[in-house]
Amino acid sequence: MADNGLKTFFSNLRGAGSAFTGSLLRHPWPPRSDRERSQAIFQNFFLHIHSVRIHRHSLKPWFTMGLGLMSFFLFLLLCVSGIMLMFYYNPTTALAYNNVKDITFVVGAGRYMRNIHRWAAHGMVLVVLLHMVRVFYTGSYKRQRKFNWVIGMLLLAVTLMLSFTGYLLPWDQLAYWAITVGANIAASPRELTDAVGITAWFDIGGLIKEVLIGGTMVGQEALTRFYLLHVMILPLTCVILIGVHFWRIRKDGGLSRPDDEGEDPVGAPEAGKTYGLMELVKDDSPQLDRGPDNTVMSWPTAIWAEVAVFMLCLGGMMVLAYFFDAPLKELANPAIPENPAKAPWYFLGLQELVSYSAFMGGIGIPTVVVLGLMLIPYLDREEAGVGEWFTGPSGKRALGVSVVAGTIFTLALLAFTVRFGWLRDWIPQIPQIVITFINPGSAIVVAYALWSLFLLKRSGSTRDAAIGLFTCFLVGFIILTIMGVYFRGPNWDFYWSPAHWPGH
Amino acid sequence: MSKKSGKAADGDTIMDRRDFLGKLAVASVAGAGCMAFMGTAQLPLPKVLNEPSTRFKVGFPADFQPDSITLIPGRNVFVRNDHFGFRALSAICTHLGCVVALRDGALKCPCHGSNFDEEGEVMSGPAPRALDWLKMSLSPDGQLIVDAGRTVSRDDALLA
Repeated sequence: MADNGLKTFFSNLRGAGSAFTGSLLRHPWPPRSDRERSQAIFQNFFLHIHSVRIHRHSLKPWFTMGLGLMSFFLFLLLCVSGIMLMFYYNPTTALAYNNVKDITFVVGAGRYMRNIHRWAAHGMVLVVLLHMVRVFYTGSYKRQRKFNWVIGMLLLAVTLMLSFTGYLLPWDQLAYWAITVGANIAASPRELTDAVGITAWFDIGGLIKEVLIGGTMVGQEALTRFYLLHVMILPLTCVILIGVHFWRIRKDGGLSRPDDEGEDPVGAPEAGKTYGLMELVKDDSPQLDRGPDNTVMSWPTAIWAEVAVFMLCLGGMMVLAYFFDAPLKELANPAIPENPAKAPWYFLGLQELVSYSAFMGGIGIPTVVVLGLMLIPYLDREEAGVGEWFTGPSGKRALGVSVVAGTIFTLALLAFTVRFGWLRDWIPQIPQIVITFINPGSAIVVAYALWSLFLLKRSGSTRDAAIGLFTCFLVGFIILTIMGVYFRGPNWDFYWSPAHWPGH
Repeated sequence: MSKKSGKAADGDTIMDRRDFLGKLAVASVAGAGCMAFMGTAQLPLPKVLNEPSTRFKVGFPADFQPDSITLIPGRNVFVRNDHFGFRALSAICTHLGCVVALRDGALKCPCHGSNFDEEGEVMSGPAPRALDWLKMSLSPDGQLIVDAGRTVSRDDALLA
């Protein structure tokens, strides 16, 4: 008896490893048949967001360029590196700056972790913008994917807010003045209430500012609130929106692609394969009314592609973080602003606009642009050309002429403003409300809208008009950003190069 | 109980009891939600400001030369002493809150290029209105006091 018991014990001990693997995974390992490869996906908690088979088109690298995945992976990197920084960071005006200095100069791997957090944040903003550009130009907001475009817009807004709230936390000069400017942009509806003369009774701008920074000036309360937003409210919002975004991709029929008609089916379905639920339900599932032609198993093909994108992100951030240090200026000084006081690069286009009018540039135009972008799928409902770059030749023409037109409008208005000034330089006593509505920023937006209407009239295609408008805004964003980064110096004056700045 | 939806004598459709109770339930949930939101929304609006006092002493009247404009270090306020008397001009730009500096007889903002003259009037740039003039008073020990929380008209000078 004892012998038998010991035998069982030792054989169990030898087999403990594979028994553990069997209990951990809910499917045979390694998967050998398509049935087992299906199970590798849908029996796995982390992978079951994928469908079991995906369309071959979804794997073409030039189509998505992995940008959406990259945004997600950078977000993961930001979560991990951010939690690491939280070990040492205290959100108090007395400690924050010194904590960041400690992280940079004393804490083991602290500087590296902070660099990764910094560059992943900038990278995420860039990649999210590029992802939006890709989705727009491939017509992937059409048909059943309308609402996911709206969620994408919300994610863009959350990404920008995450980045902006993180900007305050080091409590250095850059942080302090960026948040002072940001808080006053929130208060800029006063430009309107002042013009009507009702600010004393109805100060909506002041109310938003007070809720945002917890007082009348940027101080401890502002730091507490921005910390709360940065580490709790916004990341949670982001996680939920990402979840819905991914779920909708799956439910809306996977990544967008051209319609299958005319393509030759490749490969016959294997015997013994199984279908998940999504092959049975009606509606926009990947396999609606169609066999498994043109699809491949997600495991391992798509998973390898995703791991490759992840390694690319991680590797890229590690290299950047090794060679480039995140900046840290002097301790915040409420008496002396930086000169020039520049926002992070992706807000410099906006900073150029607020240098014309705080309300129009900081609230009016951004609201119009975000609402306009959200409305695109509902205004352009043409169904042709989904999953195809620029929807064919007519879209490519619209893109080409719009790049030229947008560049000319924007450069001309900027050159005019720099050379001749604007209304107040000609009529010193002009009322502010006129400048609030008629300024170079609003003129550019109106020019873009007129251009888009012109394209609509000429081609009769809402898609061409949408391409025209989106391209103009993209070109404008790039030109204004370059203007803010390279050509604006002390006192926000125009300089051809930083070498010409005074005081150097 | 007999009919799903009844008809009144004059022909108007009457909501049946189940519909009515269902709508009442939805309305009560919506109402409760609104009340809860309004109650909760009070919380982030600060009632007590944990901020330094807006009133501070800036020195004795004799410290300021006649016809001078002086920046009070760390307070973001200019004190002017001229034929009007003593007046305090806020150095905080009315555009987006940066601090202006006195340069070549003008008050210039480094952030977005607003320029003001020494009377605080906008000369150029995006600032929507003139710089604020602040309330001045005299403390019992003879020093000038500025209240950065109270704005006054530009003619409101302190004769000390």
